[in-house]
Parts: sequence; C-alpha cells; structure tokens
Amino acid sequence: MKYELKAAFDAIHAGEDLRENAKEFLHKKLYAKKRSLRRPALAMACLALLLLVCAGYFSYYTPVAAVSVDINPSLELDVNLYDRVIRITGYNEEGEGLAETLSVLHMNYSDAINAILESDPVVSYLQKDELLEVTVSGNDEKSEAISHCISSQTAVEAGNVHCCKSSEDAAKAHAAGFSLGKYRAFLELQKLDPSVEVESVRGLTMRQIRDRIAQAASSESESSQPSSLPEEEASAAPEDISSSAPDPSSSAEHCGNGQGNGMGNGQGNGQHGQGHGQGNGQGNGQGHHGQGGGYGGGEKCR
Amino acid sequence: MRSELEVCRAIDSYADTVRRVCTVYLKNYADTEDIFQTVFLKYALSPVAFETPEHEKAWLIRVTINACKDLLKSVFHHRVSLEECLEQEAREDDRCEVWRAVCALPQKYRTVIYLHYYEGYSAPEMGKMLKKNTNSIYTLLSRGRKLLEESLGGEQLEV
Repeated sequence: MKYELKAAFDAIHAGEDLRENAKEFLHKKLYAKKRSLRRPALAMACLALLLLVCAGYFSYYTPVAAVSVDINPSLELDVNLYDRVIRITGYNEEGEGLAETLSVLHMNYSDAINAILESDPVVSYLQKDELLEVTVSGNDEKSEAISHCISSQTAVEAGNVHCCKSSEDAAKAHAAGFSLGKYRAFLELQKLDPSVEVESVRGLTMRQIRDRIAQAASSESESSQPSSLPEEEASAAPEDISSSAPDPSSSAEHCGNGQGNGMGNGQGNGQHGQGHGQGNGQGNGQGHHGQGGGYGGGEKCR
Repeated sequence: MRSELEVCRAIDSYADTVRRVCTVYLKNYADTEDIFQTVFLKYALSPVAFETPEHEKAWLIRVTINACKDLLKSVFHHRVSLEECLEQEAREDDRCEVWRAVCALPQKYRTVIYLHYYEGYSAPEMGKMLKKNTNSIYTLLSRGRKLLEESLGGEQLEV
C-alpha cells in the first residue's frame, strides 16, 4: 500500500500553466522594468522644483543696483531685485573694517543704510563733521527708486544722495579700487583741476574732496570772472551729478571759511517727475557747513 | 533578492512539491495558484542562503504549509467543504482508492502521512517543520495510519 500511496502522490503534478503563471507573475512583480506614469511625473515635478529653486536663488543673488556709502570708509552694498542687500564690500581699509562689523545682509537697503548710520564708527565720523554721501547705481528705474527711498526713509540728507545711471563709471571705479561715490567725486575734482591724480584722493575723506572741489571751483570762477560772482553760485553742483537736489552744504561750508556764517540756497529739479526742491543753508558757529533739504517727489518707496 | 533565473529554476524543481502540499491542504485549484505565487515570491525575496537542495526543499515545504494555513484562516477565503473537494478530485482524475482514502482523512493526518510516506521525513524532522512535539507527530502518524488502514479494509501500511 505504501507504493500505491506514493504513486497516488506522484500522480500530482504542477501543470505547465501553473508554472508559467507563477513565472509571469514574478517577472511582472519583481523583474520587469516598470513603466508607470508616476516616475516621469515625479521626475518632472523634481525638475520643476529644482528649476524654481535655482531661479529663486539666482534672482535673489543677482545684484540689480549698488549703493555706495562714502565718508572716508567707503562701502558698497549690492541690492537685489527684492531690495535686499546681498553683499557688502569695503573699498578701503576703514571700509573693510566697517563692513566686517556690520550685519546688514538680507536687510532692506533703507534699513541697512539706517543701520550703517547708527553704527558706532559712522556716528563718530559724523560727529567729527565728516560728510556722508550715498551714490546709487544700477538700471534707470531701480536706481532712481532706490535713491528716492534713501532720501525719504533714511537720515541721509537728500542733497547727499546721488544717482548714477552709468555702469561704465561703476566699472572704472571698481577697477581703480574706489567705490562709485568716491570715484565720481574724484571725477568732479579732476574736471575742475585736471592735475589731480587718482592716488592723491585715495586717502582723502569725502569732506576733504568736496572742500577741494569747492576750492577748485571758486578759483576757476575767479580766474574766468574776476569781477566776482557770489561764492554760492560759483559753487553750484557740477554738471555730471544728477542729484535729487542741490547740495547746499557746499555753498554753506565755504562761506564759513571766511566769514563764519553763510547762507546758501539752491533750486533743483527733482529727478522723479515734477518734483522740485529748494535748499538753503546756514552756517553754524564755526561757519563750517549748512544744511539743505528738498527733493523731488514722484515714485513711492516700497 | 534572488535573480529571475534562480527563481525559475526553483519553480521548475519544486513546483510539483508545492502543488502536492497545496493539494494536501487545499485541494482547490484557484487557491493553489495563489499559494504558488505567494510561495515563490517569498522565495525570490528571501535572504536565506540554502546549504543543500534538501534544505531548500524543506524551506519551501514549510513556507507552503504556512501560506496554506494563512489562506485557510483568512476571513475572505471561500471555504470549500471536504465533499466538494473530494468530488473535485474525483472529477479531476480517477485515481486509486488509496488516494480517496487519503483525501478522506482529517487534514492534520493527511499532512504527516504525506510528509512521511511520500517525502520520507522522519518524525523529529516533521516535528521541526510543523513546530510540533516529536511524540505528537508519532501519535498523529499512528492515528492517521490506523484510519487509512481502516478505510482501506485492513490493508497494512508499512511503518
């Protein structure tokens, strides 16, 4: 009976269809390359996300404007499309030192300027009666908007905010190791006094450069018109500065040299639309410099 | 995971064994197909390294028995009565009387009878495989044999 039992079990075989079905099932389940729609869709989604992240990164870290802050420390803030400061560069020893102490990265540019103005080294410079100038460079609209906002939202006097639309000047300035603001002041001086070399102004403060500009302008006007023009007029802002208002401090400060007090007035077209401004200056006790106000109205700050 | 070639070889070598175990437990072709897929999927994914073909065969028998038990316990499993099974088997082929007698045995006896008389496993080996005491296996084997002998009209089954 044992053999019959064995024979009975022997008669049971797995049919070919059973084997083939099992093989096919395993092939499909484990070994066939799946061509589901999920993978390409997932890959596309990942790619889109990657592109989005890259685009965001590049748009954030691409500077569209530069704000140059000059006293003697020369700083330049690179501003992105979203009005955030993405880089701060010092253009001289003091500037580099100041750049290291400041933490203005990723701040709005006007907040950054205010933070710079409130920083201890800058406060001490301003207490020593140094001149602070801000020069904005970049494309037309952006640089105008930024200079307008800096004029209206920061403690920087409107007369000391300049707007430069020439990218050539910025490139030349950086090549010479200058911030744009200081380089433009040098160009002004060189225009009046061609003998001035780049190196001779490198160590000068903005106050000293402006004083030399004023001196050169007055000596030039004296030589061309010895019958004498009023000093205030002779020291009118040079042509290539497209400031949003005249710089009344200049007219006041050289009056102070001789007389101890001064009055200045100026008129300038605002750079944004129909705005106009008036500035007047009054000498202080030592007759050093006056204060001016007035800027063009037009665009709104963000 | 094992290669497709290795899995195909295992299917070719052990398909009959798996089918027989399924027959002992299920006797239903649709369920057998499910068990086939489950067992060989487990084989393909198992990290166990088999030392000998016997080891491999024992592993497959063990996995098949477990899969059959799981299927029988499953809530969704359609229960087929023993009579239906027998009828199905009788229809499938007109095997000898011995086979019918085996089919008529309760499942616990069928298993040990199959493992011992067909696969040639000893009681301790079966105990290990079925996770049962060796003495229980002896008992099941002797009772199963007795039932089988009775149903076959007292014909003696060698031990």
